[in-house]
Amino acid sequence: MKSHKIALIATLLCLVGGAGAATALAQKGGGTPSGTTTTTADCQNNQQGVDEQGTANDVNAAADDVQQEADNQQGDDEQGDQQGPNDNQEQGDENCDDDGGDDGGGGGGD
Amino acid sequence: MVAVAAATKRALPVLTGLVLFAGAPLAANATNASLKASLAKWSHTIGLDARRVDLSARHRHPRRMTTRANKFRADALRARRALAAQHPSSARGARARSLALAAFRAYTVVGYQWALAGRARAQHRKALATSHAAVAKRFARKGNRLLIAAARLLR
Repeated sequence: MKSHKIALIATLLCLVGGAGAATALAQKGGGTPSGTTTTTADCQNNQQGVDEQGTANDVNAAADDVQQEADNQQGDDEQGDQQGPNDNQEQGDENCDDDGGDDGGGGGGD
Repeated sequence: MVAVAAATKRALPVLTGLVLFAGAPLAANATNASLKASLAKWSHTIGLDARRVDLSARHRHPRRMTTRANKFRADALRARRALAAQHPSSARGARARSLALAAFRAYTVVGYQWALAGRARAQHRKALATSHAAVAKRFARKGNRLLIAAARLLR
């Protein structure tokens, strides 16, 4: 009877220890990637930070450029601005995924 | 044998409690991870939309810019809906979600103001276009600040 009690207490202690370890690991996993995670997970975590900062930079740059162009006394590129029913592409669009668009046409653009 | 069974029966509620106690942080982490993934996905989408608006502005294509600004706004609204459907179970996650929602609310204003600026520019109403662009810039700064704060809480 006594040995059963001891076994039960030992089991409970093990469980409490396990729970503590799981909590610690979960918190560690939530903060920074733990040692057991793969490089992919690491990249994803870093990618996230980059994504939000990158988005903020993109929105900021767009806000600056929209304001600059609104102030611009030059006329618009009426011909290039014509839109057909299926017109989603613009020169430089293909670079949007990579480096923030085409800087080549930015200066003159007429 | 009977004594073991009785002891096990007595210990069962304690064991169940311990298992739940151990599992709770893991579940909280899972829902925060889902919020984090959703935020990353939508900020990437919004970033792409912003680049396209930027490109049209630099090419002085106000009509295209208006279309893209509307897309930016529509995506910001979609992002808000997607983030509102998330249920973070930690206080930190809840705070991150409310910051992210506020960020995308600011972005919807940005998109709307960009669209108005593009329309005004296409109608050669430059002063009006300038004032809409200035409002957009103010909200863009606010949205960026909130977005970065939300992401920081989820790191």
